[in-house]
Amino acid sequence: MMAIRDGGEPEGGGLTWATRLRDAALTGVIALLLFAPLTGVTLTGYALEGHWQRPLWLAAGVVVGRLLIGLFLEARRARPPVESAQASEKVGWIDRNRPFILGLALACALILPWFIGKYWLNVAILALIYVLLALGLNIVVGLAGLLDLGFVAFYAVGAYGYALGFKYLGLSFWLALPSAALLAGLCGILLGFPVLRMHGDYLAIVTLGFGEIVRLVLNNWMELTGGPNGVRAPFPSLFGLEFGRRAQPGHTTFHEFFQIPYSSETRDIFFYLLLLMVVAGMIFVVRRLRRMPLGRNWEALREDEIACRSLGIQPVTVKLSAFGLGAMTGGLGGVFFAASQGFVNPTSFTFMESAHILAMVILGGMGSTGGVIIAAVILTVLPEVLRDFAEYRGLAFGMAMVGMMIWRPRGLMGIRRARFHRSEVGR
Amino acid sequence: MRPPPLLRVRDLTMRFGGVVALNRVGFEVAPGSVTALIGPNGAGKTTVFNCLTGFYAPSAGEMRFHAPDGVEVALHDLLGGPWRGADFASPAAFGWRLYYKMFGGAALAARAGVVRTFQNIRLFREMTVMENLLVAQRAWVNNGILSGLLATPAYRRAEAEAIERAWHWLDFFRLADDGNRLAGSLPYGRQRRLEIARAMCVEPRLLCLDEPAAGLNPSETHELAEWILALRRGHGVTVCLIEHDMGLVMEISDHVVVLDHGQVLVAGRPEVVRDDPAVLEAYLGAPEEG
Amino acid sequence: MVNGLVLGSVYGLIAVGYTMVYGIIGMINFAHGDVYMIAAYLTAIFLAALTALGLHAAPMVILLVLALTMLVTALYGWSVERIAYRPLRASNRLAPLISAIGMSLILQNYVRLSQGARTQGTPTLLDGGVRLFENGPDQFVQITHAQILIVVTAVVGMGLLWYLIHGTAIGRACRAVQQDRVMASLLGVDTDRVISIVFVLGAGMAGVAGSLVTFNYGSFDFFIGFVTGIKAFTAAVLGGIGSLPGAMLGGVILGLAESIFSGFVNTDYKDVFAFSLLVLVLIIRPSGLLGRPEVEKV
Repeated sequence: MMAIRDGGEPEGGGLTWATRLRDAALTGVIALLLFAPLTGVTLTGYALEGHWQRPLWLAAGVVVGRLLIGLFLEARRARPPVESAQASEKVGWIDRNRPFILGLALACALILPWFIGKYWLNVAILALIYVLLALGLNIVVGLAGLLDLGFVAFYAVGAYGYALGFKYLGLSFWLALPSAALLAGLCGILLGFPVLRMHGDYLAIVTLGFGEIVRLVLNNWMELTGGPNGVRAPFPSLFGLEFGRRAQPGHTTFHEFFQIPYSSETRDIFFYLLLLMVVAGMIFVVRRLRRMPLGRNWEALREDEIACRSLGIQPVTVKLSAFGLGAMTGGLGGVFFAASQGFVNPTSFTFMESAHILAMVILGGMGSTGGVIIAAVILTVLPEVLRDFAEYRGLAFGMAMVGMMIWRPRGLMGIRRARFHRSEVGR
Repeated sequence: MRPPPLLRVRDLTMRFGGVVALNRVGFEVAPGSVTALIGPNGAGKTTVFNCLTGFYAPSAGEMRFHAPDGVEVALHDLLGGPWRGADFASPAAFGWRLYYKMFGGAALAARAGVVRTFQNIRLFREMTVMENLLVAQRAWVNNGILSGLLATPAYRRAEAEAIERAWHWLDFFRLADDGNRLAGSLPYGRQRRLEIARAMCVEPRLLCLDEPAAGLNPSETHELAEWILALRRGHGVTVCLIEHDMGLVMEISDHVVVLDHGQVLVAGRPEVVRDDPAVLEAYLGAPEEG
Repeated sequence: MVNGLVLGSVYGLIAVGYTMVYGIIGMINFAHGDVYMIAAYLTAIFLAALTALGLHAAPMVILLVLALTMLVTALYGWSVERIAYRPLRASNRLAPLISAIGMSLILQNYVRLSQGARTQGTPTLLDGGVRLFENGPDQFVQITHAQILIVVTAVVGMGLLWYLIHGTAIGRACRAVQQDRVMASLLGVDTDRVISIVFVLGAGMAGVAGSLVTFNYGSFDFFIGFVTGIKAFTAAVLGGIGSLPGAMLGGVILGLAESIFSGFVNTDYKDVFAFSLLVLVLIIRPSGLLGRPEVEKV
C-alpha cells in the first residue's frame, strides 16, 4: 500500500523502472484480490460457476493502466506548467466565428428531421429533451453550485403534471406546458426552502431523498397515479389540428386540413420542431442569464457564499431562483417527455435518471452551456449507436464521472467567460 | 463641535457556549476617521467585525450605525434573536423572526453601508476580476429578470454604468490590466487589492478591513496606506481596520482601540496608545511592537 | 420490535462507516452503501465456496465467511478512497462528492455485469430460534438464531471499534486528524494513512453488516446498497454525525421506527417514511442527537 502511494506522487526526478514495475505489480495483486471473488465466480442459484480468466484479464488491464497513468503523470510533471491565465486570454477560432457556427448548427437542426427517418427522429427528440433537462440541472449544479441529486423529481412533476392534468382536468398540452412547468418551478422553490442552510453533501443527500420520495409516492399512490401502470398522456395538437390518422369527433386532423397524405412522421417532425423552438428559447435565456446580475450571483454563490453575504446579496433569493428556474426547465422537459412517450410511469424517474443527467452536466463542464448541450446530445445518441455496449452504459458513466473529476474538473470544453472592454467615451 | 459618531458600540458581548469571546466591548467610530482595532491574536478583533457586519448575533450589547443622512440602523438586531416560544403564538412575531432568519444578517449590514473584507481573502476565484466587481453592484440587480432578458434601454444603461464604475475602481487600485483575468489567478497582493475594490463597489459608508496588509511586502503596505487615506479623503469613506502591522496603524489611523482577552484595554490617539504601559504588556514579546 | 432491533443493528454497523468518514474528511462517502452490497455478494460467494469445499459446521463457516468478507470489503473501501478521494484532496468540495457518486455507479454496474441483474439468494445457515414469553401454543415471541447472531455481532463489532478508536495509537491518530487535520499532520501524523484506515474500518463494518443480512434474509441484488445506504446515513445523521455511539443509537432508533411504521401504518411507504425522517432531521437538528452544533466559521 505504501509503495503505491509513494509511486503515485514521485518527488523530484524520474522513477526507475524497477519501482514502476513494483508499483504496477502491487496494484495488480490488489486488483486480483478485488476482482477474483466477484468476477471469477458467478452465483447460479446456490452454486458457483467459475470464470477464472476474467479477473486475470481485468487485473492485467489495471496493471497496464497503472503503468501508463504513472508514466503520463511523470511526463506531465516534467513539462513546465501551462500559464492558465495566458491561455484564457487567447480568443480561439470558435469564438471568433461563433455567430456563424451557431447559425449553422440551428440550420442543421432545423432541416435534420426530413433526412433521418422515424427511428432516429425519435432519438433526436429524446436528445432534445435531455438537452432541456441538462440545461435545467446546469443552472442548479453548474452555475449555483448546489448539487441536486433529485432533479428527476421535477422532471416527474412536469410529466405527471401533464398526464394527470389531462386525466382529471382535461388540460390540453398547450395549457399544460406552462402550468406544469410553473408547478415544477414552484416545487423547486418549496424544496429549496428547507435545504437553504445546507451545503454540499447534506444538500446532495436530501435532494436525493426528495427524489426518491416523489418516485415512491408516484409508485404507491395507486388511486391517483395508477402506480406502476402509469398514466396516459396525449399527443399535442396544433391549433386544434390533430395528428392521428382519424380525428376525434368534432376535430380535424393535420393531414386532412393540409390535404397531404397521412404519415406518422409528420407528427414527429412537428413535435421535434416545437421542441427545438423551446430548447432554442431556453438556450437564449440561459446565455442571457449568465451575463445578467442574477446569473452572476448564482456563480458568485457557488464560489463563496460568505463573500456574497458581505456584499449585500441575499443567498436565499439567489438559491431559490436557481432551484425554481432549474426545476421549471426540468418540468418543461417532463411535459415533452410525457407527450412524446404517450404515457408515463414511475420507472422513468429513478435515481439512475438523475445520475444520467448529472453525468451530462459534468462531462459538458459544469456551468458551460455549450458543453452541456453537446454532452447531452452525445450521451443520448452514443448509446443508440453502440447498442451492443448498452450494458456498459452505467459503468462508463461512473468511470467518466470519476475520471473527469480527477483530470478535467472543469469539463472537456472549458468555460468561456464574458469579456469586458473599455468603452471609448467616458472614463 | 464634534459630529455624532458614525458607529457606536456599547457593551458588546459574545459568548460561544461557555467561552466569552467579547466582554462588554465599547468604542466609537467618528465619521470620516480611520479607526484601528489592534490586539494580540485571539483578542476578539475578528469577532467584533463578525458582529458588526451581521455574521454573528451578539449575545448582548448594542451597535448603532448612524448614517450621515440621518438613518439609524441597529446592527445588533440584523440577525434577529433566537426563536422563542412566544413567536409561535403570534403570527406577526413569527413572520418577523422568520424574515430575519432568512433574509437578515450580513446582507442587511452591507445594504446599510457596512461592508467588509476578510482575513483569508474571499474572492470569486473562478470568475473574472470584472465579474467580481459587477457582482458587488447591487443597484443593477433591481432591474428585474425580464428587462435583462429583453435588454431594455434602462437595463443597458444600468449595465453600462456598472461597468463604468467597475473600471473606475480597477483604475483606482491599478488593476485595470487584469480586468478579464480570473480572480483566482492573480498574485496575492493584487487579490487583496481586488477584495477592497470589490467592497468599494458596494458603496460603503463604513469599510471594515480585516488585516488588509497581511502578507504584503513593505512597498505594497505603503501603497495600501495611501489608498486607504485617499478613500477617506476623496470618497468620504470611514474606515475601520484590524491590523498587526504597527507601522501602518500608526501611520494612518486617527483612533486606536486595543483589545485583549475580549475586552477593551485602551482606546485613544495612536501616540497615546503606543506609549501606554498596559498595551506594551499585552504585546510583550510580540515583534511588531516597535 | 425484534425485527426493528435487528434492522437497527445493521443500519448502525453501516452508519459507523458514514460517521467516521464524515468525521475525518467532512464528506459523505456515497459509495459506502455499495460496499455493503458487495459484502452481501461476497458472503454468498464465500459461503457457496466453503460449502463446495466440504465445510459444513455452521459456527466455523460463519466465522470464516465473516473474516474473508471483511477483508475483501475493507480492500474495496481502501480502493474507493484511493481512486475517488485521494487525488481530489486539494480540490473543491463538489469534486470528491461527484467522483464518489461515480464510484457508486461503477460498483453497482460492475456487480450487475459480473453477477447478473437478478436477485440472488443463499441457503439459510441457521435454522430455528428461541421462544420467549411463551403463553401458549400461538402466543410467543420468536427470535431466530440469525437475529441473535446479528445483534451480538453488531455489539461485539462496535465494542472492538470503540476500543480501536479510543485505546490504540491508530485510534489516537484518527481522533487527532478529526480534530484538526493540518495540526495533526504538522505533528507528524500521516493523515493520508489515517484517512485510508478510516475508510478501511468503515468498509469492514459495512462488510460485517452485509454478511449478517445475507445470513438472515438470504436474498439480495445489486441495487440494495442504494436504499440501505441512505437509511444508514439517516441513522448516522440521526445519532449525530461524527459520533460512534450516535451511529449505533441512530441505527437502532431508525430500525425500530421503521418496523413500527411498517407494522402499524403502511408497508408501502416505509422507505418514504425513512427518507422523510432524514429530511426532517437535517432541517430541524442537523447536528443529531449526540452531535455538537457547529458554529459557522467566517
